[in-house]
Amino acid sequence: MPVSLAALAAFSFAYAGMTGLSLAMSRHHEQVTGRRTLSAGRRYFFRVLGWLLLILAIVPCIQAWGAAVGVVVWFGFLTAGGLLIVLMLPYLPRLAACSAAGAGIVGVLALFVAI
Amino acid sequence: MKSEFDITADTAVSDPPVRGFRQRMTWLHTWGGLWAGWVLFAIFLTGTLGVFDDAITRWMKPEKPLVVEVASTSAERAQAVRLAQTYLQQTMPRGEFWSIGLPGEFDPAIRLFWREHEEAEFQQVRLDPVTGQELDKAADRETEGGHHFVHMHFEFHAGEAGIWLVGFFTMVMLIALVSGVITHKRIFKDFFTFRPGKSQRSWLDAHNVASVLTLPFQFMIAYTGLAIFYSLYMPAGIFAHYPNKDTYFSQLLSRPAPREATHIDAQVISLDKLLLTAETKLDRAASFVSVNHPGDSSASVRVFGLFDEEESEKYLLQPGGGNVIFDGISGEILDVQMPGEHRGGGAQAVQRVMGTLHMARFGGDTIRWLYFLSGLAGAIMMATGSVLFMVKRRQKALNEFGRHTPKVYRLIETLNVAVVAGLCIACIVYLWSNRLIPVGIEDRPHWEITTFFVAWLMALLHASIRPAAYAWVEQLALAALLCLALPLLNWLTTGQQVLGYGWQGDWERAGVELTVIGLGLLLAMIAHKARNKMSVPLSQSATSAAASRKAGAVPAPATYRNGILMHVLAATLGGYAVASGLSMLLPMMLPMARAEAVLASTLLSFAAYTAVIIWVFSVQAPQRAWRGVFFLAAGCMLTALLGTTLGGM
Repeated sequence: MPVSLAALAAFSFAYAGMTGLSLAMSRHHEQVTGRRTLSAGRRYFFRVLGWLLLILAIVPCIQAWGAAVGVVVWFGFLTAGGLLIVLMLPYLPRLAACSAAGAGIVGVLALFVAI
Repeated sequence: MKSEFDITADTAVSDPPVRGFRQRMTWLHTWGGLWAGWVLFAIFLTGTLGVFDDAITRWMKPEKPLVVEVASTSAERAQAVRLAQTYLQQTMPRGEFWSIGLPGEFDPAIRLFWREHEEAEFQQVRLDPVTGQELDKAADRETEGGHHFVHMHFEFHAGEAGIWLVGFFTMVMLIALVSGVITHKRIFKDFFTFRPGKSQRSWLDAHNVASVLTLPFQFMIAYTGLAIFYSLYMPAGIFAHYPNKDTYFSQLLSRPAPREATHIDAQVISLDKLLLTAETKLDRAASFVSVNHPGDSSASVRVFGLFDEEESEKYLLQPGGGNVIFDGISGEILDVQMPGEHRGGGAQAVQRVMGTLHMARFGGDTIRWLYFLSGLAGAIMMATGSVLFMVKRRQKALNEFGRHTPKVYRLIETLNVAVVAGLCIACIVYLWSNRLIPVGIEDRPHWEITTFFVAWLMALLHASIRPAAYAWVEQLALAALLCLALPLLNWLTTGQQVLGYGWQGDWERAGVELTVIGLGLLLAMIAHKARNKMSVPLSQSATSAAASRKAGAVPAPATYRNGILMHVLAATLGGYAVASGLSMLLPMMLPMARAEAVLASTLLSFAAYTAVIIWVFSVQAPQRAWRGVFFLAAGCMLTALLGTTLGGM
């Protein structure tokens, strides 16, 4: 897998995953949706989705950099994705959710292009 | 954050901070972080810039062509070594070492270094690979380049003393990280929380988020930093089991120990023959030749195989280029380490991986950018921590220093500005100096570095005479301006600019310039925010005056200060003794080769050191802490001593 595509996919999944995890928390869920309450079902959905995306992010890393280096790169992208959503939430909350959904799609596309 | 230890409330009862474990850790985090924060910020910012040292060096040598012809034949390399040997033979026939860098990717010239004896200065020169003539210094803009940042990062340009200083503060960083994690009650609840525009709250959020999101990186970078210099920082284990470090390293790496000088004159054998022999043995081109004790009958020669950087970036445990050691007089082969051959077992593998991790020598540009990001976040963590300390106290002076409080607060404010904003200025001034200092003058690299320090000193002066709020804005704005104007300066002095770099595909130089512009915009934004803050009435002088009015506040009693001093000493010295003791004792218990066990134990001892320091500060009575570390250290050391004595019989 080419490094640039792998980086794109890993970062996209990390950002989307971190956004998913933040949406599973009522404070950030409210920031994004404006809704005061967060049902248990939705919380569960976002948490599982977030974790799945974060785990998915390791796939392009290991494909492009191998297991050892890939894991370190993965950690780096998790940090990068986390930092971006932290800055998005207070300033551009609506865009955060849309861009995260977009990032998820971009990640999948990048994986398919590489195959 | 009411848990802050407030001495005025407790002076009657407290020896160092009372109350629970978490409160003690908060106290440790606040004060340890404050006093170490400035040095750590400097280490972090320069280290982060150092990630791109090669790119910065390229930018600082604008005369250098984009593509350097590197391929050379065996005969050309042998010729280069012959020229180098002739030059060195004439310049310093006898001395501590010669080293010869063969023409390569980074420099098509022959690079020579030598030193007469350990106290003498390093000498260096570059030779034309064909004629052997000294190259005109003006032709190549002499500069320390990006390595300046790397040297600041690990030794402050102060040699071994600097390495010790950085090591000490790295330990404080580990302690600050551990105590910070314990202090932070809502790591997961506040994982994504940043609430801007709420003054103290926002600073705390920024500090927390920058730390928590990069926590694995921060722990890794601190621990691996210690591991790189393990034999310097924690030599007790080595000395308990080996007469000296040379013996230890020769055991660990199964190679002949360096030889003592005999002071008998002898001529070094022709190096070109050894080079060709080594290349045949290693089955690859050589890149570097070093001669120990040239001119002495104990001389030895080491030829290093070319290290394929691009290939090795795929691994954490990197295959070396191999090397061959010769007797420097007879030319007899003493040792051959083949490319990719690994020595020293698992422990040495771990130590090497730690070095690779720390220095970002893997994963290519992706890792460099990710390290740059995490490193900046780390610098932000330290800067926001230091600022937060004062933001809290600007609103309500806590009078920790009795009647001296206003003066101490003023000192802290001054250092905050001079270190955070001032260092940014110094770093960018360093790049400016590269374009403004005339090419070809004597000691040019030295002048660039001097400019860096002078700029930093000026920032300190400025911060100490201006009110803090103004000093912040002025210095941040100046740093931003210098960053944003750098492309213009480059264009005026060299005629090169970022679009041209991009057009030629010179992404390293373009990257440097674009990053500087990006950082300039970031600094401008921060300066702008700081200026808006100034209109809000929270002037420094008011705080100082309020604090002065409370001058009657109880000064810290001597018992309190002594208590803290005893804790700090028990933690630093006592903790070091325990860690040393452990690195002496543990090798006897580990089921591996002795040298490897010493290495493993020494690497582990830094974790033990951290644990002991945390324990010392969690104990209320300093006497108890002292008893604890004394018995632990003495127990370990005596057992180890007994073990080695019995083992030796």
